[in-house]
Amino acid sequence: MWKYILKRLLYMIPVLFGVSFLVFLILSLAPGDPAKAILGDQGTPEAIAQLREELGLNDPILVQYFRYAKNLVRGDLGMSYKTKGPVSKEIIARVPTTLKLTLSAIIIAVIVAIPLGIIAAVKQNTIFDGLSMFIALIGISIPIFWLGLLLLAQFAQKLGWFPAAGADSWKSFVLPGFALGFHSMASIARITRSSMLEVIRQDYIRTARSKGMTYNNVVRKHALPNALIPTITVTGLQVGYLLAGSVLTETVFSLPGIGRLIIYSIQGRDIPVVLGCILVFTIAFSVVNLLVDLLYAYVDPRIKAQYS
Amino acid sequence: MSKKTRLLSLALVLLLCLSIFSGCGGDGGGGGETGGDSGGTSKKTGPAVDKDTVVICTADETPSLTTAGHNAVAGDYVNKLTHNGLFRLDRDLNPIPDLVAEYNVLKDDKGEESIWELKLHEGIKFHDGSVMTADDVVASLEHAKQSPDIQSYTQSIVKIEKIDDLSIRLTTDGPSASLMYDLSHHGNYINPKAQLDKLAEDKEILNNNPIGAGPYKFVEWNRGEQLKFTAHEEYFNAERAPKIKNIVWRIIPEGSSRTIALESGDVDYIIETDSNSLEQLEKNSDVTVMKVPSVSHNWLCINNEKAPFDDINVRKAIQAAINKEDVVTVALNGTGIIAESQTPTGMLGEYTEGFDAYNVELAKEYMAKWGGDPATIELDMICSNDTKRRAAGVIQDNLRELGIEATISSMDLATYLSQTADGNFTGFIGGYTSNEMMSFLKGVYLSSNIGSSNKTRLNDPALDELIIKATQTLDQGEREKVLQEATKLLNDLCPQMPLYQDNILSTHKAELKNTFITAGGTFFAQEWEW
Repeated sequence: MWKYILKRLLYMIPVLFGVSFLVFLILSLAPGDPAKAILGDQGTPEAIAQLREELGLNDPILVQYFRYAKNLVRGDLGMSYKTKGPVSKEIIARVPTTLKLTLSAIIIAVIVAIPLGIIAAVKQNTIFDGLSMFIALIGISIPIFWLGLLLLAQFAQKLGWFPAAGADSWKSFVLPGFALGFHSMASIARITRSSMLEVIRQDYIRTARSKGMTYNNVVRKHALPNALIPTITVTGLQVGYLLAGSVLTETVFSLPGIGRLIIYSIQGRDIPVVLGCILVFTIAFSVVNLLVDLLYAYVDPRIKAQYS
Repeated sequence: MSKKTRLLSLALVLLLCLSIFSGCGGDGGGGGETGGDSGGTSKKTGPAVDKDTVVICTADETPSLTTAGHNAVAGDYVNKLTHNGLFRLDRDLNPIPDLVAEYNVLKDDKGEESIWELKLHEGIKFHDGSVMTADDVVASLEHAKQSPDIQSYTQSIVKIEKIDDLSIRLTTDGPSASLMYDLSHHGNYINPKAQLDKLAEDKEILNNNPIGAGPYKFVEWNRGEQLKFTAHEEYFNAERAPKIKNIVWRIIPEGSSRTIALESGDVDYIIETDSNSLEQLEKNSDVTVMKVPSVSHNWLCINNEKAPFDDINVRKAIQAAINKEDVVTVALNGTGIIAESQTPTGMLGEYTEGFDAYNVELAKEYMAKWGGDPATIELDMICSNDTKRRAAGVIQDNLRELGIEATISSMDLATYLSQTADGNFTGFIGGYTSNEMMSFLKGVYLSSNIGSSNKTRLNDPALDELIIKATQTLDQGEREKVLQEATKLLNDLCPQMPLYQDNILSTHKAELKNTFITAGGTFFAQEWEW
């Protein structure tokens, strides 16, 4: 098992360099000069030339990338073009917020989605099924941005239950967590429902029922564990969606996270900061995928046997 | 048709009702809610924290707290809290002494008034308790000259010398009418020499621990979220000492979220109010909305080097065909004034003669003088945000009257800045903000700035001469005449199509007193009180 984990972690290294090279290339080839973006309309031709030289933008793109990669090997993410401070400092300051947001979103999503999916499956073609799937449909269709503003208007402005902006306390993450998690909740609920429907039609479920077990016990002890594998896969994949969704959610709720930082940095062509943020997202996504794979082993003994 | 379908339909209707209910609640909710849930002063009407604190919210975070390390408006606001310049702009945007107690302008060997002797107030204390001397001024101005970010504000100074502990001598490259304005810019604010000397070993010292002599001391910066400041108890100017002890400076990028934060009581002051929320906020008796016409001049910029826009008749035809009232209504929700000249109104040297107002018949006459086929004109208007896109939409309709089929393109800001500076465009919606006419003219029309801020790419030696002459004329009356002459020439040349000057929209809780904003967007937080 440990060998497998180590192998997976080592695989991440070429992935990180591959991603960083691609992103660097795309950003460098995209129109828009970082020096002109920083100096704005008031930059003189001399100032633009001086800043380009200071930032090393006059070197060929490959030279610029290898300089970046050399520093990356030493754990140095470089200096921000805009703030002139270390990129790592900018990112470290924002990681906790994005982490809290993503965690709250996934917790809200899972807590709501799994019971919703189970109810929809065991009460198939009833009012509960219709209502559960209607909520799931809304969750998939509704834009995060709009839902966020709706929640702010209702629960921050009108009722005053939650703060309208900032990341001061746990309360600050309830509305953004819900806005971000709503979409994932819908996906997880739908997959749980279809997976449960498939499992409860299996012969071994019928056998368990015929042995006299109550329906609730059959669902809890036999159907649910078997139906969870696809749910875990989708939940893991949803982390990628949640990281991408944090960009919008952090903007609406004014949360100082990586999502907002990446938007500002792309707008300002602050290439080192964009690269740093993308690398953090890549690491997070890879680690979550690894955790999902490991979780399979605990849920399904057959997979555990493969590892050992 | 079935029960299930009816149920789904009912649920959909309920959801729509909820969203409409929430939306309507927002419109009138501010006032109504406040009245309902507050017995006396509540968070929604009174201070968000307490009477010793004001919570300000703004759209953008400063890239840096280092005074010479950026040229961002968001940074200018916070630098003004922590630092001072030798001069500052008053409420009418005129430069007046700040750290300087007295100054004299002397003639050099050539007989030109290019030597400035400045004397500091005695006993000015930095936030660390040290006393400001001429050494700090010399070190700060020398440091500022190295920074590309603020180069246009440091170019005229060629020599910086200490005379004694409180006196400095500055030599400019000829007479400089813009020097006092330049020294009012945050890039030239004064930092302690002791800190500047440590820059070699700690490049981030000015950003991590900014020490100035300003009315507020820096406390902390939670990146992306907020900054905190506290009053400088030993501020040198007792009359302008802070009345509210603490400032919390929150960053809320989304316009609607800023409005909600104010109406829910979480913040006390919004620097940039979302114009879409204006009507709602004006109905709310618990908040005060401030509307001030800004000095930001916005236009349809035309590339004067590309045919047929190199023909003055085509430019004048487009200029006369644009209904600027409609542009203000559509693009700004009516919150601005129409442009009446090639240079902004509200500045020394403003002049409207020779500028054609909206007149379609006149526009058609200009087109006839040009003699070409309007259908062959290819005009693509690049826009980098929604306001610009709305303005371009009105212009597109107006130009159809002349037979011109203009198109609209969208670009992100960085691409837009590069493409327009490089001259890769026929037209774009843009603007320029400056606190005074000289730097406006230099930035927008001086031929040496082609490739950066002169985006019309106008190259007129007579105009260049007038701009340089204005910057060298120290007598204000004489300078005004030169500036008017330059504006008149520009109105005749019609290099671009000015549209509007938008309003600066700031909003705050009605209990906050003594608020004021200048046409340049500056506010004086140390004068506020609850």
